[in-house]
Amino acid sequence: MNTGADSVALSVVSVTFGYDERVVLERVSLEIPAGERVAIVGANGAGKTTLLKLMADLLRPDAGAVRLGARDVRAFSRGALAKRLGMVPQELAVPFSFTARELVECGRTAYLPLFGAPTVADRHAVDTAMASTATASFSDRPLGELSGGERQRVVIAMVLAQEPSIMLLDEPTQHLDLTRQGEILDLLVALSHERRLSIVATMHDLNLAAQYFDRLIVLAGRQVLADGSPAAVMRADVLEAAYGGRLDFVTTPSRSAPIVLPVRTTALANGARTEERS
Amino acid sequence: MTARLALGAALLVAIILAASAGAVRVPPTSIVSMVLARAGLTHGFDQWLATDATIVFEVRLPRVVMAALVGAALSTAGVLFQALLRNPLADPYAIGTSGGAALGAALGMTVAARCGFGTSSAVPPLAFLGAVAATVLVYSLARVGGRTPIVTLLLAGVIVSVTLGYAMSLLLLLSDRYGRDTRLIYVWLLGGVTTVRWTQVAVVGVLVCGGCTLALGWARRLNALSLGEESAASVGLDVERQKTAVILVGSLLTAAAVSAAGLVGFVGLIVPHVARLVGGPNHTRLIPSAMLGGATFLVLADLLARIVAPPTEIPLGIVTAFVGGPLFLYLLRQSRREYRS
Repeated sequence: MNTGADSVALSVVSVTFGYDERVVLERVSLEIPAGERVAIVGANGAGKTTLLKLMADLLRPDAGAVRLGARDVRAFSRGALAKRLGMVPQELAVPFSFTARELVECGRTAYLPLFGAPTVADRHAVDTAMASTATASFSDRPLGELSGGERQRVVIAMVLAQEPSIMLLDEPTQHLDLTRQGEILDLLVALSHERRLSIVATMHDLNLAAQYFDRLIVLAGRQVLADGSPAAVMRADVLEAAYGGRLDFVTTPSRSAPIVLPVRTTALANGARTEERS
Repeated sequence: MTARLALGAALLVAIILAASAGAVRVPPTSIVSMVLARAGLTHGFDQWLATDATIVFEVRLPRVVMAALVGAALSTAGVLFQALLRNPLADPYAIGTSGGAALGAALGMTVAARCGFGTSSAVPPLAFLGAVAATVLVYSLARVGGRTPIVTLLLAGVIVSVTLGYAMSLLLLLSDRYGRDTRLIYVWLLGGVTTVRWTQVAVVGVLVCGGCTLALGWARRLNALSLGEESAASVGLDVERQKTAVILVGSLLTAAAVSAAGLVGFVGLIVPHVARLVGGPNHTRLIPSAMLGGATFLVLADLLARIVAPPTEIPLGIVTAFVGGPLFLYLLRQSRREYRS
């Protein structure tokens, strides 16, 4: 084993996975170093969520392996895995109206003794998680009364209470308005710095992904089509192949990567302005 | 904590009231001193009649304590199944327990009685066995490749319940043709804790106390389980093991209750609901509240069943439905926290 293996938090080694007959991922390999923020992007159905669930051991690969450090994730018990790796699901539907704090306390499940009450360490972890997500002020409010952004921060706090070194997030900015999207992503950046947390998120919005993540992984045709810095990946040949359509790239001096937009094919009412721009 | 202390006190008051009321009225103070003297805590002078003591210790208290145990068991089982199925409408009978218990009881009343066993001694164990067997059947039918998906569990539960229900009807129809009294089984199906001995209380008590202790210990895991299987697994719960344990304990509690009191409906649905509306869904509070609330509710319901139209007793299931239904609807209108999300 080389000395660099220590800094690799998670590796996906030649993983193939399919639902019944349909193969979704084929011999996919990638490495997530400790403390890095990685966004997984790609068209609908490209396998982003599947890849994330494979990383979390919620799905088992047909071939290949997912490793946490040097060990296969399958070698960990659920509890041991939860102390190292946490996942923010796309939609957490809670049938009962827990308060924010009660949900965050669920993040301590892996630390519970067989019978018994939470310890000082449990309470401290919950307090810290709620403080760093700015959710402490509504800790006793029921989840149903919170806004989308507040709710998402509470779910992130629940995962933080697990005290993992890797956080996986499935579409963390879905259903949020622009400002709230920025809030959540700024929070993730701050957490990755404060706690040296590796962050892997699936993202629909390429521009947000490029703005907030160190690295983009583009999934297409069951494989990793491109893997690199936003500036290296946000190119017409890569993204048009991945998303299967023409895209419009706008460069701005304030950003290292261009802004990408779909090309409108219907005519505008006030003339053909779009053609000039592309 | 104060809420649970109040519920504990309410249960105690309900038990004393229920032991006091009836055809022969025994003053509540006498009951307290009788119990204290019997427990060796006081050297009471016999300010009460010997017949009163016999009525209280041999007839009323075993019945009242049994009602409390059945109420606690059904409410706790309700909470367990609601967390497992992530549905506040799930009840202790959701996965076939009632169908199995009913068939077992019907077998007890027809076949076993015919073979010379007394109905009263054959019905409770057969109802218990039926309940457990039906649950095991549903559980093994629902298992797919080492996992028990909730959907297949519910589907198997419904199908097995309905099938067993018709099997029971067939059995009754046949025995009716041979001139046996089928009214007994209908009375049993409506529930009740009529004739109870301390030995029965002891058996049911061990099962119910064991099950309730386990449920209390699982409170935080049940919070995690109600987030759904994937999220529960990703916060570190061994979901399949916990599900199996919940099904096992929930069914044992239900089977114990059913064998003692027949099919008392509504308790496992209403009591957890009310507890959730009042104190929220956190299982660390919900389970003790539902347990104490369920026990109190059933003691009072059984008291009503006895005193509304003496000497006739109304079946317990009818009382729980008539009292519990409106009470529940009233609380539903009062607090809507649970239903906003």
